[in-house]
Amino acid sequence: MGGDAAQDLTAFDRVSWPVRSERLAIRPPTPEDFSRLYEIRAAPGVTQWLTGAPASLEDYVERYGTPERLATTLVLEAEGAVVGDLFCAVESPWSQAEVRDRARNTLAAIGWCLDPAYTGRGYATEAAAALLRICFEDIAVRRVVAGAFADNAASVRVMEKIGMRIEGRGVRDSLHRDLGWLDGVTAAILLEEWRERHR
Amino acid sequence: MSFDQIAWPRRTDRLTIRPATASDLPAVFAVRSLPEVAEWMPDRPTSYDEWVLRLGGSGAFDRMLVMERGDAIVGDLYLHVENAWAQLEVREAGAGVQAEIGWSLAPAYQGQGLVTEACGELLRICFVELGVRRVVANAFADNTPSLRVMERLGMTCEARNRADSLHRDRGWLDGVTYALLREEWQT
Repeated sequence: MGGDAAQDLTAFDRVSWPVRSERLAIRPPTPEDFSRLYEIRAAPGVTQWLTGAPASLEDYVERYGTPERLATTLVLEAEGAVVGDLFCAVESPWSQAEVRDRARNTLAAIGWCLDPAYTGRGYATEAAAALLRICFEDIAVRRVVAGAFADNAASVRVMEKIGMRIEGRGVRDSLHRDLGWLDGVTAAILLEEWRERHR
Repeated sequence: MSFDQIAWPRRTDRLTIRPATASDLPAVFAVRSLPEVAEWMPDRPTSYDEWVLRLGGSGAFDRMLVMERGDAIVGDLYLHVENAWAQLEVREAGAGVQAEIGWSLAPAYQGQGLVTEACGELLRICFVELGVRRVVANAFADNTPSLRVMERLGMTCEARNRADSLHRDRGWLDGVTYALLREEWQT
């Protein structure tokens, strides 16, 4: 069911940055990151499955430099360099009206984008797993979801590796800029499922 | 989308379907405020005045149709044309090509296939007149009668989301999404 579109723009305030995993550091972006993040998006093949394919740095900043986008974007560092970005939007899931307050900001939608020069090392999986921990332990949501084109096998594999279940497959529900109408998948994990994996 | 582009009322074997007017609202409220109807609905209205204000403020009134059986309003339908998910560069091509439908029916009229009959007409409106390519319906997974309607309409269960929807009395429950594409409907 559709959630409340309003996002919690202060969710990242509840996290002490940077967050480090074995090989990665995750932190909110600053304007100095824009040119590097655009450079990653501009690399061949990167935007194939992403929501937007900015045509220039100015276009990138216009779309992703807004307070709303900055409040849902995280920068990924490895080997001393920015190697990608993460998406994390805290939202209110669908609820009956009488209990809307109890549902507020209990859902996170996540995503990731990795520089192709750094793929094949498990960074996306490590980053997504770290992001799940941030969502459940720091931001304290009860459910995390991720969506992808079904043909985006690499991302679907990451979802499964970090313990997310494929819950839905929408038949030709998502419009791709070059490939037309494609299937979309959604994956999810609940707090108790995540805890079970990390006991 | 506006209901204006469609010729109303629509008649099926047993029902008349048309956009709700202000004078229909007391009858719709009488149905919606019944506990057994409100059980699975987005809200359980208790005050008529507050409900009417909310309907107007949220835009829900503009998406409301009524089902009449003879002279009686037996329930309401929800029809909302929305944008499909699309990559940014093709967002315009994805605008207004998907619809969500929903319904509520007075208990006295349940069990006769009336909602399936009305929604069959709603699907025709969506696919033939509104140019929609995909119709979706959402429900609590435990709302068996509604799921049966979706299945009778030929819709496919595309998602069952674990504990994603908060019910006022039952806590976090599974939600389902059913969908139907125009080409599936045509065959």
